[in-house]
Amino acid sequence: MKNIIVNVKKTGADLNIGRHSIGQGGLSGEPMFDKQQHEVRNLKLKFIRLFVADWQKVVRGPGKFDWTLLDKNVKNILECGAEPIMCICFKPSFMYRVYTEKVVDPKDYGEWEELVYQMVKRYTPWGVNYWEVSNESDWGEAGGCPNLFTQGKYGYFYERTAKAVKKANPKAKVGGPALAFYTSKLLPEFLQYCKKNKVPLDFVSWHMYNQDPEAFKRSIIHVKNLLKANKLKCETSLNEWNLAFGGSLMQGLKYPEYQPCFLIETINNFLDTGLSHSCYYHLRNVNFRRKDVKGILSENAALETEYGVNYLFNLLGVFDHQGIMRPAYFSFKLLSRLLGKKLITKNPKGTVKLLATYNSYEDEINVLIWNFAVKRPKTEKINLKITGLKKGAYGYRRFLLDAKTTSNEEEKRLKVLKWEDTKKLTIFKDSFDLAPYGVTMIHLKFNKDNKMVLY
Amino acid sequence: MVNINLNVKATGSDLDIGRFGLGQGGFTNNAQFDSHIQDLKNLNHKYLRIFVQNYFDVYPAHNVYNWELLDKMVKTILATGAKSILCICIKPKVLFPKNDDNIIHPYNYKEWDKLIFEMVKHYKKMGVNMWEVLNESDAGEWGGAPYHTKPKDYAIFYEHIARAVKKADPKAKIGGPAVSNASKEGSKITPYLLQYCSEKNLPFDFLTWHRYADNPLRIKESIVTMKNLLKKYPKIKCETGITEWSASFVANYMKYTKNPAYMPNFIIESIFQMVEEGLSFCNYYQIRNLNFTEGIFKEWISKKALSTFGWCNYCFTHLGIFDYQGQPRPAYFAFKLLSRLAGKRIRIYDVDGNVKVLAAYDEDFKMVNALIWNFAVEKPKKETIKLNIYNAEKGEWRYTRFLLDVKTNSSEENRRLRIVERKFIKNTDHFEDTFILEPYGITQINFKKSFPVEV
Repeated sequence: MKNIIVNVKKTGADLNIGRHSIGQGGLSGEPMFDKQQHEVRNLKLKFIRLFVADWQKVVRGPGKFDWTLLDKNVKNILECGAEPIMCICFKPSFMYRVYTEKVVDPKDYGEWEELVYQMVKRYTPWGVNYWEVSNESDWGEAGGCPNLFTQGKYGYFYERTAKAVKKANPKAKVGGPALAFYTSKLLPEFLQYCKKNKVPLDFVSWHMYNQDPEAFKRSIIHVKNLLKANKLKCETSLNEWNLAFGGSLMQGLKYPEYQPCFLIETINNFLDTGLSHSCYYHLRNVNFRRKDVKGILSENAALETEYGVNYLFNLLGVFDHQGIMRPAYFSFKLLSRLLGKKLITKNPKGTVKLLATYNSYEDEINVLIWNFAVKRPKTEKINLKITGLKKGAYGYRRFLLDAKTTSNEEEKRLKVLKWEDTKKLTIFKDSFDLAPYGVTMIHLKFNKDNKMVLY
Repeated sequence: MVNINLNVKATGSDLDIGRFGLGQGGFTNNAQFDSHIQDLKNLNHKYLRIFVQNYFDVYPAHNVYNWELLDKMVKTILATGAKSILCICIKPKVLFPKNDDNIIHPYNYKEWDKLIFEMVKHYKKMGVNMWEVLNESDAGEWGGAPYHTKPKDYAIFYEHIARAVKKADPKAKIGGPAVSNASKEGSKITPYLLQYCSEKNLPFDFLTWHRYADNPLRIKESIVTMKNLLKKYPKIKCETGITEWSASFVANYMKYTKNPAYMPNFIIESIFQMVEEGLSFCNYYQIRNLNFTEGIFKEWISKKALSTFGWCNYCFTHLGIFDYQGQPRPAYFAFKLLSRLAGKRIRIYDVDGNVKVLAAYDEDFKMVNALIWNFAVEKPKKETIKLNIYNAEKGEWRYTRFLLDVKTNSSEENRRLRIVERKFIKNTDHFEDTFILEPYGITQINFKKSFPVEV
C-alpha cells in the first residue's frame, strides 16, 4: 500500500516540462518527421535537436552556400512548435588538407568562421538561438559525425566556432561538446580551456544510453561538479539519451512497458538533479543508406551506421521506421500535460513515484504516477489523496498508459479508467492498483461555476 | 524436419533484389504516395512504375507543354531513391478529340511524335530513362487506360513512340506492350510486335506483361512462355519485366481475408520464381490503395467503363502495400524483408517440399541474410527447420532471427518483424539453429560479423 498525498497549495516553480524534449538523428538530408508534424506538435516540445550535417549539402564550394535543405529542416521544426538546437557537424572537404576524422582543424579558420557566421546570421531572424559545436566529439565517426578530437584539440575548435556564432548573434547560446562518454578526459580539459581563455560557454552537453535511470543522475552530478570545480556557470544538457538500445534490445522488446516507464523515471531524475534541458534520442527512425554519406564518413563508419540504424534502432524512435507511433510517444504526451507550477510532493518509499503540477491558467491539477525499478517491481496498491482544493465542483479523470495493446488509437493507449464529476469538493480520494512499470495520470479540473460540465 | 545448409562461401552473382519493385495505379494527378517517401525509401527499390495519364494534363493545347503535375509525381519517386518507369497512356484531347478507346492513332502523328520527344527530353534531365508504351491495350479502357488496340495498330503506335524516345534520349530504354493476358503468348499483340520490331530493326529494350494469379507457378509459367517466345526472334535482345502483378484479388478475396499470411507468402514465393527464371525486373501492383473518383476520368474514359470502376473501392483491399488509409499492410513487411537480401546470392540445394530459402551474403557488412518461408497454394504443414550456417569467416558473430507476424493488429515494426532470437557467438565459423515454421510462416535470419562496440 502506497499513500500519496498531493497538496494543491504547496506549489513550487514552473516545471517547464517542455524543455525535456526530443532530438532527431542525422540520418537524411530531407526532413524526416514532416509527416508527423501534428503528432509532434501535440507534445509541446520546447526544443528539437538537429544535426547540421554534410548531407544537407549547405556548402557547395568556397563561399557557395545552398540553404534549401537546411531551411526545410529548420522550418519543419519550427512548424512543430519547437526551437531547433543546431548541432554543427558538417565538415566541408575542401576546407581540409586531409579528410579523416582525426584532422579536425580546417586549413583556414577564417573560412570556417565565415561559414558559421553566415549560417547563424541566416537563422537568427527565424528564432534559432542554440548552437552546439560538434557531435560526440570524443567518439568521432562512430557517433555519426566526422570529427574525432584528441587531447587539446576541441577547445580551440570550439573557441573559433563560438566566436563566429556570437559575432553573428551576440544573444545566441553556444555550447558543446556533446560527449558520447561523459567521463571522457575531453570535458575537464575543455572546461579549463573555456575558463582560462574566457571563451563563452552557455551550455555543456553530453549523451548517454543506459537502462538504469540512476546512471543518468550520476552523469549530471559529475558534470555539475566539474563545472563547480572550474567556477563556471552554464546550462546543462543531456541531448541524446535513451536505453542501451543494442545491449538491452531483447529486454525492451519483450517488455514493451519498460521503456515508456523508464523514460518518465529518467526525466524525473533530470528534474531532481536540476538538468537544464534534454533531448531524448530520437523522434523517428529512418533507414540509413551508406551511399548517401559517401565521401563524408569513412566506408567502415558508414557501414556501422547503416547496420546500427537499420537493425538496432527498434527501441529508439518515438515513431518507428515506418512512422508508426510507439508507446514512448504516449509517455511524452502524458508528460506534456504537466503544465504549470510543480506541486511539492513526497514520493512514497519504494518504486512508486509521482510528478504533479497545478496549472492556474486551466485551473487544473495533473499528477503522473509510475512504478519503476530496473529489476521488475511488484504491483502496488495506491491510495491517492488530493488536498488543499478550493471548494467547488471538479471533473476527475484517471488514465492508464497501455503499452501492450496493439492499437495506436489514443483511447486504447491512454485508457480512461475513471471519469467522475463531483460537487463541493475540498479533498479528493482514489485507490487503484499500479502494475509493474505501470504509468497512470490523474487529471482534476475545477469547474468555476460550480456546475457540472454537460458537454 | 527440413535441413537448410547455408554455405557462406557458395556465393553466385549479385542478387540485385531491388529490381523487383513496385508500381502505382493510375488514380489521380496528386503525387498519390508522397506521404510514404521514407517508408518506400526503406525498401531500396530500383524502379517504381506509374501511369502517365491524361489527368496530368501534359498537353493542354497545341504546342503547349505542361509538366507541373507530372513533375511532382516523378520527384516523389526520385525522393524514394528509385527510378521511374513511365508508362505512356496519355490521349490528349487536342490530338484525340473523340472519346473512344478504339481510336489508336492521333490525327496528327507529327505533333504526337513531337510531344513524346519533348516529354522524354524534359524527364531525361530528371534521370528518367525507361518508357513503356501503353497499358493493357488488349483489354482497352477496362485496364485503366483509354487504348484498345489490334496487334498491327499497336506496332505502328509503338514505332512512333520508340523513334521519338530514342531521338530525345538515345540511351533511354523503350518497351511494351504491358498486355493483361500473357497466358497465351501475351494475346496476339506481343508476337506481332516482336516480329514487327525484328523485321524493322526497331529499338526494343524490354518486353512487359501483367499477371494476376492465385498460384505463383502461373507467374513462373508466364516468364517461361515469354522467354520461349523471345527465342523465336534472335535479333531481339531485351530485358523482361512483369510491370503489374499480384494475387487474383477478386476471385480469391475471401481466401486472403481469412488467411492474412497468404499474400506476404505469395509475394515472396513469386519473387523467388522470378529470380529463378531470370526475369529482369517487376513492379508489384501496387503501392497504395486510393479511392477512385470518376471526375477526372470523364473526358477520356467511356461512361460505360467508368460506371464499373467503382469496384476499385471495394475489391482492391488486398493489393496496396499501404491500404486506403495509408496503413502499411503485412505485404509491406514482406518487401522490407526482401530488401535486406543485399549482396551476392547464396545457392542452397536439397531443400525439398514447401519450405524455400532465398539467401544473400553482403561482403561489405560480412553479413548473411536468409529468408525462409513455408508456402503452398493449399495449406502446407508445419515444419521443423534445422539451419546450419557454415564456412563463415572465423570470429565473433551475431545471430538474429525475425518472424513476420501477420496476425498482430499492430503495424509497429517491433510487432510485425518480431525478433524471436538473438545470440552472440564468439570465435566461430558456423552456427546451428532449430525452429518451427508454421504453415505460411515467414522468417528471416541475419548472421553478421560483429562490430567491436555495441551501445
